[in-house]
Amino acid sequence: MHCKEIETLLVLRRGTLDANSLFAVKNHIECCSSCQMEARFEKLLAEVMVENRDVPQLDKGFNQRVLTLAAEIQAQKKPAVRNNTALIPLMLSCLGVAFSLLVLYSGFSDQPNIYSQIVDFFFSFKPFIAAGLLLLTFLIIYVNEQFFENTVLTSRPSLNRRNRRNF
Amino acid sequence: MPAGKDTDFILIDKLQKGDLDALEQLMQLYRDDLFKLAYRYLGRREDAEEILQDTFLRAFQKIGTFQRKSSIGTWLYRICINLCITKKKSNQRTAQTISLTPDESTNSVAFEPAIKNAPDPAHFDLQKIMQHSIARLKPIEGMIVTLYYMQGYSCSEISEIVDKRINTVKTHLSRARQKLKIMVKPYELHIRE
Repeated sequence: MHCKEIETLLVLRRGTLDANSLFAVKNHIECCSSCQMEARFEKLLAEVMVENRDVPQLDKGFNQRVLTLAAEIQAQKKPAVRNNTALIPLMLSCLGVAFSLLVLYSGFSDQPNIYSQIVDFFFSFKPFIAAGLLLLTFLIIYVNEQFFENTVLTSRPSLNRRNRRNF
Repeated sequence: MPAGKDTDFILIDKLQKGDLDALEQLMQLYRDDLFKLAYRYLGRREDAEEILQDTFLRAFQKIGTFQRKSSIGTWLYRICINLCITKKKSNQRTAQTISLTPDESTNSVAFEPAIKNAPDPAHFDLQKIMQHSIARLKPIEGMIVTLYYMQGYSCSEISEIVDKRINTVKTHLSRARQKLKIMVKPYELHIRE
């Protein structure tokens, strides 16, 4: 056994040595003064570490403090950010509402005007088209609410920058 | 580290839903072990409590990024170890900037003056010298020494905890021991006794 192997066997393979290896290490240490130093140093290190193993008690309110902070983090968590593509259904909804109103207005208006002419140009069956557009508008708004967390119909907090906090 | 795989999965699922009871359960399971590690490494109760708090809060915030490749305990240990190492580096930088003489309250690294000023080696405190020497090691070396000697983990367990190869862990441990030997060398006579 060589002195260079002692550190490996003594330290890096702690607890994994078989009986033969352990016997060989002990024999070598008895004959070699530098390895005796190595073994004493290892023992000193282990003793110092054991001395330092005592740990004070944690503060009693520690758990509560962490839970309070975690609850605050949760409450201030960034809301679902509306990305640009999610605005498209909303814009289409608004256009749909506007166009439906336009169609209805032109339909009820006695005198021909530019709006009725536009609508006449595009559609023949105004009431049905208007109703269909209104239904489509509400369907788009409903899909927004359910799948994109947009806030047209519900009372969720707005995406006002003041309400956003980053962690 | 406590908790089996099934408990882990249930706990992780609850944490991902933001369940604070699950966070409390996690703290009950791992708080003491992590505090011991942080205290033994940093040497100060205030620092250790701060690190422990940050560990759990970070785990709560980042639970969505946990990939379940290891146990949640190992993951918590890694967070704690990284925070401890960052704190140690910050403490060492502060101590070097201010050039303090050895001061246990700040876990200072200015150790040499203590040896130079000690008139009689027989009056020194070998325990304190060893503690100061360990504090002077590189943060990762100090952490591995703490895990190996104080927490009692084997090299393979340490390699899993710190997420480094086992040979890297052994190299760090070997280098740390060499450095400690050099620092304690002036007091070799007392070690011979």
